[in-house]
Amino acid sequence: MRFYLMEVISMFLPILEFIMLFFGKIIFFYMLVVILSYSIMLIFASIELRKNYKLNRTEIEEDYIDVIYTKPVSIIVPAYNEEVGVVESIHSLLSLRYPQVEIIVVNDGSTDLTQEKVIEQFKMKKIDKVFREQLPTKKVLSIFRSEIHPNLLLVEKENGGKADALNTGINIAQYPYFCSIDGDSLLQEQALLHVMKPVILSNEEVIATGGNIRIANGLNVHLGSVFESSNSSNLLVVMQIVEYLRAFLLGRIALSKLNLVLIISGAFSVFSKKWVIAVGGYSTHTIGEDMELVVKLQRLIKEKKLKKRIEFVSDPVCWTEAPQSLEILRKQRRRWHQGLIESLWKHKKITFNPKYGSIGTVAFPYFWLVECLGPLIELGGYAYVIICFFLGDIYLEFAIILSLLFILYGSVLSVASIILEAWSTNTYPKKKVVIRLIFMALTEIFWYKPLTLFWRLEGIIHFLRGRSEWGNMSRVGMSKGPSK
Amino acid sequence: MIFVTVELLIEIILLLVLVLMCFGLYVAINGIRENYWIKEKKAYLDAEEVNWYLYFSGSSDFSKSLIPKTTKEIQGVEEIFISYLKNVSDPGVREKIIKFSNEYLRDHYLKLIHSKKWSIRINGLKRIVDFEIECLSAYRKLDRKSNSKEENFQLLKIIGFSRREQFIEELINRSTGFSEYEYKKLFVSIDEELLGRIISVVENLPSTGQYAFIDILGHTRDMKYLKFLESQLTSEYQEIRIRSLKAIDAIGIVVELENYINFITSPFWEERLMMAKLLGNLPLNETVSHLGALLEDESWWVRSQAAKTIGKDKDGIEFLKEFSKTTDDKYAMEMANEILLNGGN
Repeated sequence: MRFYLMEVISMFLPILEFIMLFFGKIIFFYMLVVILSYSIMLIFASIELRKNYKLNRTEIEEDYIDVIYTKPVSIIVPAYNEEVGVVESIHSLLSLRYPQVEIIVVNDGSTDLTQEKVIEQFKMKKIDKVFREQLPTKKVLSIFRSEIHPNLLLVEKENGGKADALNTGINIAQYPYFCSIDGDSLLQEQALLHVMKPVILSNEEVIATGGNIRIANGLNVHLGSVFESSNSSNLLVVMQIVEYLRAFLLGRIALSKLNLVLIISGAFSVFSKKWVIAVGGYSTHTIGEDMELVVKLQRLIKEKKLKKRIEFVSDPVCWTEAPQSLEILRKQRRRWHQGLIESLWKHKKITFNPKYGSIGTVAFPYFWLVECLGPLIELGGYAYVIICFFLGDIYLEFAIILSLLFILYGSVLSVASIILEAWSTNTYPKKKVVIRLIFMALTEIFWYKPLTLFWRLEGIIHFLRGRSEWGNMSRVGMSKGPSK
Repeated sequence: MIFVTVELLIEIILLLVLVLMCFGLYVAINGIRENYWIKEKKAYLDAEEVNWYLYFSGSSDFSKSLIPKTTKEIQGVEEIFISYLKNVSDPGVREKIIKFSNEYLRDHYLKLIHSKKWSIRINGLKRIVDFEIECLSAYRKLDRKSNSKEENFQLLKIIGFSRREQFIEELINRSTGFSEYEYKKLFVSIDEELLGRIISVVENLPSTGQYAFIDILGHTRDMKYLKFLESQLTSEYQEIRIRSLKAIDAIGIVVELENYINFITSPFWEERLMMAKLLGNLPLNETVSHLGALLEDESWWVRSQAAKTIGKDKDGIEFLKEFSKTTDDKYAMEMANEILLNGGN
């Protein structure tokens, strides 16, 4: 009996060897591609930051304050059951420094006291406003205007989800640009000036801009630097700070310069109303409606050969609360990844299609390979390394090589971004703080990275499952309203 | 097959770690240096802030202690000057700042604009503009062919106050690639006489320059530009026509309605929209028939603006009441009603 078992095993050994080598090559190749692309983006970011390094920025923003230079902006705030923070959010928006702005709060069928609180606090009076329904939305029930702040409107409508609420806001907005903002985003006073800068300086060639989102947990934040907020005692928060930093410095700056931006965070972004309406507004059937909109815009730009761009602003302008518990973070990452794949899949014909220029030949393949399928391959890599260590022999060498590549990819790049940040902001934080952050970054590949990879894998599974129940999913998603 | 060995990878990683450590060390040293400089600047400010105030307010004479000796002290002076220029409108203060800067800070800024680093040059140029420092002859010596857009922009501002006669020619030569914002900033910074002279050469500017110029003329609210703006109404470019209408509306005076009548029936809704706005500058009894027609326009935007314009007039509410009773156009009635219900807003 044992003899037969040995024979069977020895039959499968070559196959096992082949499989291990095959996967090894895939993972290895993938790691090289990823490391190479991130390194290129890091170099881009460094050059760009260096150029502006010594620039005296103190009075730059003052230049734009006058109304003759700027374009008016409508700020749209979709609100669903936000009675806790909505009044404060509105107050902070009212204190933004910008010459001409209107604030449109869209109550997306809240079941709590959101509407009542806003009406009471801002003395809102019902008005009869005729507006043009350029985008189809759920029914608008009533519109209110504040008697103390005539540029503040409240729209009451049937529940339809965040995208639907934003579309309603777009219909009602009277200005050529609108700003989409999350209920819990904290904005710097000059945030709008910063994000409208590329639009103004480019003669409106730039049709959408995203702001640099930073994490600020805790109510005592005074919108200081990354390093101040990294003093948080919550490990998850600190890891997320490193992550956002790396994603921004390594990803967004380079992508923005090359006009390959596919994602602008919904937490704070500005769009040209005209072009958003041209692509049909926000899609109400997707989870990642922010990415979906940007992809649609990029697609329009390429299809119509327009000379338009979508950019990032590197000045930190928006601060958001990061999930502090594993469960909430997991849901968030799963949802993001699912939204990402949905958008990529919906526009899959762009991939490798030269008609769409660099969006098709560079951005989409990059997002598919590195952002979308990445979790699969990287998790596979982790598993592979562990198996290799057990198998020993020649596999040990593979394991060590892959581990080193992981370290290169994970830790070295993160540490590089942290030091780059310390240098470029010219604020020179305390050494202790930076070193602490660097140590946290080094531990990432051992616990935080595998966790996030696993959650993103869940997102892939959800996507695959969701596709087969398309009808059900969309109904559930919409009635729940915007999920946090 | 695996062309990368463990040794090679370890070497690469160690090398990168070394590079990062060096960079980190550089950043740390920079940090220490920067903190030291900030202390130096603060020391100067603490010592001299009050003396500057006394000097500017005329309470005391100029004192040699005010003269900065190091770069960081100069930055302290900059802060003080900028703050006064922004917040105080006394021309005497401005004169003192300009005099002081030209006498004691000029060399420092000349050094800055000769720097190899772009950001340092821009900083220098900006201060030269802010403090109106005479430096053009020195700059000319190294005027590069490959000036960046921002440098050209700052340079034009400098030419605007120190070599006025050459401004227009330089504007045409140096303003390639400027955005409307940059043109507007330039037109706002020059005096009325220069602004008037640009009228004769405006056709030589790229379209962004022309749009910006028209917008700025409207912003001046000065009647004397009406003739030029009206001449632009016959331009073959729609954008020029629309901007001119907007500028005329900003000035707020319509002299001869006959010159604009054709726009009320223009095939372009944007022009009809501008007319709906413009007619608000005349009494309602003169424009009522035109606005009534625009209230029944096929474009939603035009109807909306016409209703708003009518609503602003003191007799507008009465008119809208009558109108909503007699019109068959339900869209027009909707617009009229919105204004009526919201009390003219």
